[in-house]
Amino acid sequence: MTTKKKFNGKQFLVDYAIYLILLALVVIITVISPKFLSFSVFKDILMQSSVRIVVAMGCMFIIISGSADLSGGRMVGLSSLIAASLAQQATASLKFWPGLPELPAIVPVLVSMAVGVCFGVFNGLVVSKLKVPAFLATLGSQMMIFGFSSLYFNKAPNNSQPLGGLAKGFRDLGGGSIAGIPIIVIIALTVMLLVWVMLTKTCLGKEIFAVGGNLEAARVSGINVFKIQMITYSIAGACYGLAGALESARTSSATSAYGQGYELDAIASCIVGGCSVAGGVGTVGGVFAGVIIFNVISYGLTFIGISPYWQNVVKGLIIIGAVALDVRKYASKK
Amino acid sequence: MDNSSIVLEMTDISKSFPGVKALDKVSLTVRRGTVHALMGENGAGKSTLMKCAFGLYHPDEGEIRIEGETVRFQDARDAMDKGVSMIHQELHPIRTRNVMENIWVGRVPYKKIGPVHWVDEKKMYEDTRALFEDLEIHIDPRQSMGELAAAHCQLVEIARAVSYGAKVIIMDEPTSSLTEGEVELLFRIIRKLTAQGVAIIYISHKMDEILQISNEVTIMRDGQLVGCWPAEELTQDLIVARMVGRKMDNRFPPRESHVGEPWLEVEHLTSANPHSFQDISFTLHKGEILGLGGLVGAQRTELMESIFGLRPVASGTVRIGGKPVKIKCPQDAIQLGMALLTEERRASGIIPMLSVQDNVVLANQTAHTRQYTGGRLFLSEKKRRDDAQQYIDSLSIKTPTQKTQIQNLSGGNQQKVLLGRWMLTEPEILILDEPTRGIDVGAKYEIYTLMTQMAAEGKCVIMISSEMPELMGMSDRIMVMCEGHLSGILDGKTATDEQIMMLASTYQGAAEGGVVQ
Amino acid sequence: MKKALSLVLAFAMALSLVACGGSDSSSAAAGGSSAAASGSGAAASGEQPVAGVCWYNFGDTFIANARNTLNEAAAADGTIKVIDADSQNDVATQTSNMNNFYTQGVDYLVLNNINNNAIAEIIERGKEEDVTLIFANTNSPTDEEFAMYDKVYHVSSVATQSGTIMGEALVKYWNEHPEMDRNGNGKLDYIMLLGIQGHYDTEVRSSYSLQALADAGIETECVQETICNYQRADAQNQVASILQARKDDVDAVIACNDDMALGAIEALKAAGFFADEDSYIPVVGVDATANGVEAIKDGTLLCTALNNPVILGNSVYKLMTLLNEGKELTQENLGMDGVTVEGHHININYIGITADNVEDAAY
Repeated sequence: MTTKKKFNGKQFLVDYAIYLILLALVVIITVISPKFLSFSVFKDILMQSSVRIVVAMGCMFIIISGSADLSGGRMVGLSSLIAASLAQQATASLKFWPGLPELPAIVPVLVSMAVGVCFGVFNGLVVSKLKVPAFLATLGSQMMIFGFSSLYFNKAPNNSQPLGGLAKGFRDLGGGSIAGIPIIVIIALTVMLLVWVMLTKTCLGKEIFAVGGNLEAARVSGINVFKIQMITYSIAGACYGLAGALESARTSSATSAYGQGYELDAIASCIVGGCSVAGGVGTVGGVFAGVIIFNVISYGLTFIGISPYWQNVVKGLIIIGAVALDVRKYASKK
Repeated sequence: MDNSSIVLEMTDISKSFPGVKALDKVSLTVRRGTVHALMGENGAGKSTLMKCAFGLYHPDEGEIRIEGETVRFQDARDAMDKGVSMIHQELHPIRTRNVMENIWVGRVPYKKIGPVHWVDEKKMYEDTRALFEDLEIHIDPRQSMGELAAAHCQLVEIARAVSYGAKVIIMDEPTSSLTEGEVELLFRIIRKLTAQGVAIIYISHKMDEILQISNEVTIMRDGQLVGCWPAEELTQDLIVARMVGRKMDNRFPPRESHVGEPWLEVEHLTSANPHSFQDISFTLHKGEILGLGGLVGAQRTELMESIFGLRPVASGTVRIGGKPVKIKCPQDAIQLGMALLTEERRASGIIPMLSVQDNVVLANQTAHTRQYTGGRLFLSEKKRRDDAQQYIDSLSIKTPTQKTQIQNLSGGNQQKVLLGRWMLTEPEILILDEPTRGIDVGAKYEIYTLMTQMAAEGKCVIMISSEMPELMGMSDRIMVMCEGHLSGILDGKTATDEQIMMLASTYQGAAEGGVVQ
Repeated sequence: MKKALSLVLAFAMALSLVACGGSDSSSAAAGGSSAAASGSGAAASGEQPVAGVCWYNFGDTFIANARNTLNEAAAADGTIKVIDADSQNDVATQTSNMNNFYTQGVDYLVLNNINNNAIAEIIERGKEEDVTLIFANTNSPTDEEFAMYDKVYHVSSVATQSGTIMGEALVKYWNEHPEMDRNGNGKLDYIMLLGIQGHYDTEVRSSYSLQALADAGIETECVQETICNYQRADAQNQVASILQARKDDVDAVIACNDDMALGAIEALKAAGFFADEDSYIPVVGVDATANGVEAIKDGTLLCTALNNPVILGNSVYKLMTLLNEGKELTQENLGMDGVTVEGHHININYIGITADNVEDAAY
């Protein structure tokens, strides 16, 4: 059945644009500053990308299912506060929950993931039952979540002080290493692996793609669209919760300003990584590359001493280029 | 009748779309101050012809003359400026604005003060009132469009056409959403307009209306002109005969029917939507192919989608194999051995960016996940591949690989993939909604063959079709619906085009429906 | 499905209760402008003078502390009723909040002003309404603007001091530790972490810290100047990158607030600094947040500058009680430590916090 395909240069460029852009970026930065090509830089970029990878993985579920989620960034903020408040040493100077003993590192992580799932369920219900367009529903929950974060952050005795004094076990999630590999990177890669398995090897994954590709067709084919929407939003919520916990572990702190704008970065990474804005398309590898591209830009441009404002210019250009390509990829075939 | 009374003349109009010749040298002559009915089956080319007359399509060949002058419309606006207006079947008023703004949209009267064009509300109001008075329409020009009933929206649309100085107004199924009283109102306005010298081109399937209102009737069939007759020379039977008048040929696989025991029994099924179907009862037997005929708006699709759990039902019962069943969603239907190939392949069939393989296994994988996972978490790639290959082979689906995105396949192959999707679930009841629409002859034949095989295996098949030959060639029985009612069930072997057309265009109540069980 | 919905609602309510319950001190005023508007009846009637306070952003740690102090002082004293509103860092919101207060007939308007281009207009309006204006923790009106209306006051720290304190701490360290010049070029090579471009605090903190070094005759060189939006995570990421590029050239990190300084410290630790005595590198910040003070105790942060929000809150309240009693604003009448009265100005002094006086940071 297979036909030998002739190599098509233009198609190759379109299909692998993201990897080519990434390569070009690395080459340019390395030419300017050869030290860029080193293991420790590579490790730094992976560490800095880890939180973003986890957020983007959550976001990817939503985008593939043909929906949208703007609540991710603020969810990261809220869960970073919750995780940090539960991860303080018993002797922290400004104890968020006075009298709370030092908990095992896993507890704050699980609690913040649970909170993320709760808000994911909330988003899913609003979108699928109240039929509020996802964009607006999650814009609303984004504001609500920020409100909750601010209230929590301002709770006495904390009174909007950045949280600190986190237990070492918890901070190791963000800064520690196992066999020279940062734990946070291991966690992010594990999440990626789980997501990849879920999306490509399980029935649930296939159904998520189907719902995103054509909701009506999926419904006719007997897929429970409501269930799928609830699951995607819940998984996304869990990812955001985990990302928040990791962000506070990595920085050994948390404020209500954490996570601001992460949702847009995540959406941008997904789109640049080849997810279709219309839904039904997306790969873990592509999204990973999308996240790495953005982090290479911010890390690399700082590395060679270019103003952060240029980073935004470059990022913006890449997003526009990616969407223009996306439109070409899927529109031309119709 | 002298030539000076001719307002619109279309001569030898031809129009092709990729793969289809939609119009083949069709001519139409419309006289001033008359109602000219345009009739034909679905797909006869009426709409295409009218879109040419209204500037939405540019004919490949032929000439359009208005009052003797040759015209070539750039677009609809151009056509309106030159005196041709069209009232579409589906109106799209700007509901949030008021009546007069809807009439004058795009050419609002204004006063120029300094550099600013100020809307002249007063003039707009006066003009609208004058227009309405002239037509005896009683609507407040300042009322919000969204508050108007469908019939009144239509009147506003007609007034808008008149305001453009229309010499010809095309009305496409204008009564499809009107009540009887509203139809009377429409007819009064039509008579008023014709008295003023306006010509109306009236497209409708409703023969009683046609005979009541029109002066002349042009009949089309398969993109060709059948002829034009004065209305008083026609009867309903004559119209039907001229609309269908074709011979059957061997486009269908031979089959022997072995109709078995009753399997699907539907009783008094009524839609939750009051404008949809009501009180439908029928029985489907094992090994039977049941055709479902009717015109656009007969609610056939709605009926089948409701049985399949896609649309809510108000009352009635469904029994499968003698047991009453509750079908609330497609999952229920699929578990009960039903399958539905929907009418809109693009909107509710294919998942364009997914592969052929994904599209084939979609329904079965969801309904019978264990077949693919063996109770574990992961899907078996091999099972998916084998299943997909089975139908790629048996339905001879032409695709480079299983991983090819379905959107890259031709329409016929896409349709076969969707059939494969449902065959994989091993359905007892297969419902096909316009299964051969827009696909090539070869693929059609393969779909017919599959239906025949299914019936031979003792499964039940329902086929909604608007194509007469297909209905008559494939069905054991033909159920005909009209405006949400079951108007009759005919024997597939003896049914004639005329009988079907008659039932499809008239509903005379269940008692007189000529039910042949 | 209903069960799930109620669960979510219950959860949301529980969370809000937890969050609200902790902040009774300010709950009377919580809710921003809407709460202020609903308090109109109370403001118009009764003898108790009312002060309307427009804070620029409740979410700001410093503001939250000042706000809590002011509200607590008012609640404890009871002379003046304080209602407040959140400008949410938005000039338009600030303006409508101010209008609300005028409508309610407040006697004092405390303005944590962000509309720095409209000070004259604000004073004009205050004069029309005959309301005492107190500019708090913001730019000072000019002398001409003070001349427009006699009931204008300014209570604020001297922002330039915070920069000077950072600079002087580095001067001291440089003089005491010659090994600080890690690349031996005779210059103090620093990374400058800026907050927000064009932000007043960012400008003065960066320029006055460098000024203090220059005044002491120390040559400096900028390794890299970068903008981190006062965010810890941004600073951590960017410093990590700078260190990869030019680790051996860095002698010090100057951060325009503690959060950024702490982010820099995380990155420095990851790059091998602060492992022992020899790998120490001075980092300076501003704000003396709880985490900053912890870092000073840990021996990582060299110095931070404390702008005491408690003094700000108390000064504002004390000033209003003075005026309410008809007294003049003088150093004696105010009777507070750490502030200098100059005409209608109350200048709150920054305090440099180092390991030597870390206990002073508690407030």
